[in-house]
Amino acid sequence: MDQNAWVKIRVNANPNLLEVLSPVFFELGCQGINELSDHFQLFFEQKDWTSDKKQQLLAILETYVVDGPAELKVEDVPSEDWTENWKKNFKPFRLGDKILIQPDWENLVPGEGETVITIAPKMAFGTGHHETTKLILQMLEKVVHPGMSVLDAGTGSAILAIYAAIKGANPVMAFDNDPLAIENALENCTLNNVTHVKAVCAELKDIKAEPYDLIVANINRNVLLDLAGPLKAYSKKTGWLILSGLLVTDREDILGKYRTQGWELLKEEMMGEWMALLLKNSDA
Amino acid sequence: MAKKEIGKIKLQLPAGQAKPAPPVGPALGQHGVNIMEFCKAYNAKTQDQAGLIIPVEITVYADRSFSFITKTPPAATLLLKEAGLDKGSGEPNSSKVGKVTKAQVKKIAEIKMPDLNAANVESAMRMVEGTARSMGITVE
Repeated sequence: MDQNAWVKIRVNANPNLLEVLSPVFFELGCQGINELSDHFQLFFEQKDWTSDKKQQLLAILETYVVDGPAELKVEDVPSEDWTENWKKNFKPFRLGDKILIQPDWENLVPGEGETVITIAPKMAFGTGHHETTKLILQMLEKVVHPGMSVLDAGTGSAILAIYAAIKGANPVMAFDNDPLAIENALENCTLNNVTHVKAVCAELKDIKAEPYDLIVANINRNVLLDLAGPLKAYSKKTGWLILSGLLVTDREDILGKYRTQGWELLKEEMMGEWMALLLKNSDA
Repeated sequence: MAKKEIGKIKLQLPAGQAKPAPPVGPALGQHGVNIMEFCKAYNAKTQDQAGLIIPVEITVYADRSFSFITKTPPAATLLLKEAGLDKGSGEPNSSKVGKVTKAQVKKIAEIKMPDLNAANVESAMRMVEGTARSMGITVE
């Protein structure tokens, strides 16, 4: 059985009903709803979809659908890589003056002083297209140097770990709690011939607390707020930290929390509504 | 020149929890949109609304770029929150499970106004009251 398979339930009823029923469906275990003009679709993980759930769903619809009997059409949705169509549009692109990012079916030759990062675009975040990745890569470009030890928290595709490794950082530890991300991270490490990146499926607490020269984390505000305290144990007294995945509106919350944990702001960069922060451990 | 629209997608997702799985994956994937980029942006925009269902309307353009606007949570979600309930009644006509005040209905109506086809707050309140009745929640 495909543990990652889904079930799509087409409900032939007016989508206006969702104003009333949406929380009921989520309570039943629905993971998301696609609202169309004359019907809607509910998505359940196949492992959670039982005949009992189907009966409950029918009973709910019987109560609320007044213009005829509720009709359900159940369809299996095998797990797949839904990024296939988008991949067709992934062309190599340049980030700043010296970084080139290419999909794994291209084979660019780097020019003088250029670094090429090859990414197999799959279901992990970090192809370099998003502002948060661009911001943190541009900061990383200025900070990383050979021999630095680097920890990449929430690595996704491992784009940051790979760039750091190409620039000579060693060791490089990368982790993510998403197994699909780690699968992609390992594949990307191989594609870029970086053998000294260790990528593991884990939470921060599972990573041995060794002091790193540089920590990079492109995640989101809430997770970064939670990590503010624990990350300190992974930083050298002279260590640096680059945070991304933040909206400009997150700045005060994040800075407030990190300052209380002994981090000092060195630099901030913005791109559209996103921002990245370069911080320094102020324990030294 | 404005970008050419090639599709509109309307989804309901738990705030801060968009993933590259259904319904996001298939709905955006068929339009060639960068799914992970959408998830990152949706999760950041809704991170303050944990626990709520946040509908989102995504516009896809011919160059495969996208924009999106988040909508207000379904009225039922807001009513449950105000009434301090986990769920509504399975038999709303005969079994009442909770109460909200007129002031709470007004508060919800004001939140919902941008997304309701209502001429004024009073008519939005009537819609919210209708939703409350259909969930077995009494308005006092």
